[in-house]
Amino acid sequence: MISAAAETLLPFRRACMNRPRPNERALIEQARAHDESAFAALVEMHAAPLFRIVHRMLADDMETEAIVQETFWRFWQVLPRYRSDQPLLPYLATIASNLARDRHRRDRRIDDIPVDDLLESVPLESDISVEQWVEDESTMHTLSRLVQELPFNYRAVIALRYEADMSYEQIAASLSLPVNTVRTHLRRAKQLLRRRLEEAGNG
Amino acid sequence: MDKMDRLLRQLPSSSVPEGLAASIRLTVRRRHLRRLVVRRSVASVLGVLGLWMLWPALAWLSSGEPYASTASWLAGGLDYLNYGSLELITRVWSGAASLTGSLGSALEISVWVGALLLCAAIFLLLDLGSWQPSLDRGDYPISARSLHV
Repeated sequence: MISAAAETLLPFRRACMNRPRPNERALIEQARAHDESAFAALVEMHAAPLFRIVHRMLADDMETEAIVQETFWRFWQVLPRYRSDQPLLPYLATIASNLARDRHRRDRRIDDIPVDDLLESVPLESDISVEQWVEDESTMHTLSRLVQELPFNYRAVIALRYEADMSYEQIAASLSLPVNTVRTHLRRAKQLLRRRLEEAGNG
Repeated sequence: MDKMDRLLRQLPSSSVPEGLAASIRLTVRRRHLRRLVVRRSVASVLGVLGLWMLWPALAWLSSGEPYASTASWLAGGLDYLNYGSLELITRVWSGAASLTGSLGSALEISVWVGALLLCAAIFLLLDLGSWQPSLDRGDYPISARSLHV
């Protein structure tokens, strides 16, 4: 459970996402200067977080690993032109989310429920409260499953917001969406999750 | 921050496959080497073609005489290399001679085309070799997961 102290640190943590860590910047410079171990260190640093971000979007281990590998390959190709004043994880997450979206579009099932139909049953201002939900393991697994059932765009926003800790502006840039659309997606996603959590509890 | 935000931040993270970082490095290395091989092969072919197209001009410059006939030079080249008995090469040389002849001013065309091909070959070699970190070391651990890449 996130303590009050950790909550107050979240804006600071998000601000840190706008600057690369000093050791990361040095590693990028070394990798650009033909230091193979520096690139390996960057991979070690970001492979796991990136995997978790993409897995939140796709929920398939093999496809997630393929996308993560492709992401680092593309980063490798642009490394000489990469500006080391940018933090690396949001950059990698941008590449990965676009790859994931392309994969999702390619593999999209015919019977995917359109977003509008999902939202029909959810009032614009939902009065469903999750305050009574206990943050136990069962609830978290249920919520995790429900997130996987959301439309792809909503999953992507949730993954970038809560796994990658990116700001709305960064998410909007990553997904090529207006900032307001990102906020709307997140709000609608939370409304859907509240409704489904309620239904799961009653069912 | 509402409770749903807190719940979403605390979602259980998926387990990361063992050896993921190693398999990524291996994948990058394989693709890098594959691209190197392809680019060097293409650069070699373009370089050879470019030199072949430039050769008449270089021969003309070195001899100091106006270059008269592509066909006669090629025929002379064949004799020099003692490849006259090889039917396939003879056909290739003859075909190339008739092609350059049909273009009109054979020497100028061959110089321009040859120079372009040579520049393309040099660009392909330099563009890759000048800035890419070297991954030509075989000390990466191979994981079973990476074998399908």
